[in-house]
Amino acid sequence: MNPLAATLKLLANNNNDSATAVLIAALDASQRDIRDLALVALLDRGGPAAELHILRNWPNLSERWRQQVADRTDWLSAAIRAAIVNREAAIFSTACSAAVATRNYEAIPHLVAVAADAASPFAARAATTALELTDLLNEELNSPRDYRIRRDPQLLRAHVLVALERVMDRLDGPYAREMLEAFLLLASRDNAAISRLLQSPAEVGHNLLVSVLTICSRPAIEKLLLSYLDDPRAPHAAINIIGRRADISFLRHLGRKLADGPTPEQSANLRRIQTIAFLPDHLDLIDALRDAEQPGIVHLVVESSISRDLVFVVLNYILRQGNVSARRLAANALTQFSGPAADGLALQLLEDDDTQVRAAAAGQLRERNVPGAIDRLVDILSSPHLEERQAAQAGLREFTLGHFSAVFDALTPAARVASGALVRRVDSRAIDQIQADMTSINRGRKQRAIEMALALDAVDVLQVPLALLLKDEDQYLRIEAIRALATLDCRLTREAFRDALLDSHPLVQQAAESALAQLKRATADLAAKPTSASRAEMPINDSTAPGVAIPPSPEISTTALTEVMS
Amino acid sequence: MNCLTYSLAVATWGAKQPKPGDWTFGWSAVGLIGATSLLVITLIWLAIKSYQARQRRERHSPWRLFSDLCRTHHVSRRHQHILKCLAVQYQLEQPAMLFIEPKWWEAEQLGPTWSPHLSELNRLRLRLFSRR
Repeated sequence: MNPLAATLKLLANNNNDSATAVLIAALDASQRDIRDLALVALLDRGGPAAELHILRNWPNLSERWRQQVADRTDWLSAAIRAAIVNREAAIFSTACSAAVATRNYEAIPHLVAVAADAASPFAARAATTALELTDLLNEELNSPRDYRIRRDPQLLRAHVLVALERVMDRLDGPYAREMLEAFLLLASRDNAAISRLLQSPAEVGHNLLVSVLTICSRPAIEKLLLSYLDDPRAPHAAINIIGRRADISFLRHLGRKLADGPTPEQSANLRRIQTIAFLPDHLDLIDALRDAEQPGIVHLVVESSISRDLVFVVLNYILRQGNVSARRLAANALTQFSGPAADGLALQLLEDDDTQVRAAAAGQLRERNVPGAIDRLVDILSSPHLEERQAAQAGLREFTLGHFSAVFDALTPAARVASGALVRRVDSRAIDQIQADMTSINRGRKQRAIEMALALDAVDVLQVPLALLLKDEDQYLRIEAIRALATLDCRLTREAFRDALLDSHPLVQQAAESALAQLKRATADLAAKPTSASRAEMPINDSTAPGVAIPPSPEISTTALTEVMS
Repeated sequence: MNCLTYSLAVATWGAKQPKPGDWTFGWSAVGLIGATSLLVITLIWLAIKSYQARQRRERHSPWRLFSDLCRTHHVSRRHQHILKCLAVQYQLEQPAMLFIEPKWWEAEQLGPTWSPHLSELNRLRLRLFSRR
């Protein structure tokens, strides 16, 4: 240990009180390192004289030294407490500054006592200092605990709350607002004093409490107010205040709280909101909200009891100018609204940038009976986005194989082809179902399956099960299968037809012969016109998997089709 | 024989036993006991007071602190004497300040009377304020 350090160590640990005086004098030493070491030794030594000296000189201490003192938790607390309790005019203000700088929360009860004394000349300073300290304590309570500091912030909170709670009965003093704010910073919504004040308009502090909860922008107080949304028995005044607040900081907190959707308790409380202050004049406040906050406002508006016209105005605004997540929610919420304006908005949403918004709008088209809805949905079936395709399929629910099969006999051949193409696009399981029917033991189902395969233009996909039908014991079914396969020219069908030439039944042989001749003619025509493409030339392996293939849109009018299908 | 011996023993014991009126308790005895007690209590009180006064003196003694510092730094008696003279010259309320304020050791501050001791003081200053 170097000699200077040995000197300071002795001065720090010696029981001679003169050492304190020496260390205090050393704080003004000519060399900086000696001054710094003297401060550390003085902090190690402690004692009332040292604390009082530091407190008296607090305004002149450098920021670094103040921090060093503040790092010694409670080192200065006795001197601060003495200055506040004794109301020493010379150092009261300094003690308040030091209390804030050193986070001396134990001083809050003493400051509250001074602030409650209206006659005291220090009441104003004491009130603001108590509020500042409470704010700092609240900050410490809401941040991860630093276990290097031994004091427990929760215990301090309980201790300070008791002192502040005493003032709640006397909220008519000049600094009642500061005291109330300090109290609200630390109290929870279950606090009896707050509940009593909120539920008793005749109480002295009721108006002040309502005013603070309506105006105050301290995050902790805003969170306290918002916590009433989770209360199954929230006071009416608190719910009203939530609706009355129109400041952006509160709307941000509210938006974040409701962003993931309200809980049952929150929904129940939101339904109690009759008015929302920022609507309809300050819709532009929504623009200031972030992605994670705007959805919460959609929930607030939709779940509240404000007029439905106003809700539609908000949804309209959000759907035009809102963020993606809010637009998605609003598009889904639009289902609650009918009428030309809502229908028009839903149609406009089909042009939105976001897939999910477009899908939500597409899902509403049929229910709204919008003219041209089926045309639109058919177009959407070709969308590269799964959500949109699924929405369109849901909107065209009646174009399923089952329904198509039921009305099949009533359709003209042209309508069968057009509807079949649509059914194939809408009903993703149609091909599988036809294939299953082809292997059924029921002759009628097999017959209908062949007709369906032709109507859905799915012979290329179903050529294998069709070829297997050439081995069926029913000669008429075999003939039907040959006719169906004759629409497709490929190696498998030609081989199947050649096998069928050896069929036991002459009609089947004849059908196979004419099918082969038909294919030959088609090939010759193609050779004459080499540029024209033919689907029949597609190799077997090129055919897409059953149920996935999407043929092009039908040429026939879908409006006419719907009439037929219905 | 045994019976005779027993009778003699009982007679002798009975003769030594105090009897009512044998012992008289006078005021002189009370005074003696009181004076002795007062003396003992006074002596204890004086000892305690003396100890407390000594403690107090030690707790508030700048020169004692100075001595402690000299002992810590193994300052010789001769050098201690020089330092005491230095503290007296500067009228230092806390002579221990010499150990933490190098400015008291500067030649300009010391004046010409200290010229013979300058080199000696300089060596001591370097030793006391060394940072290693």
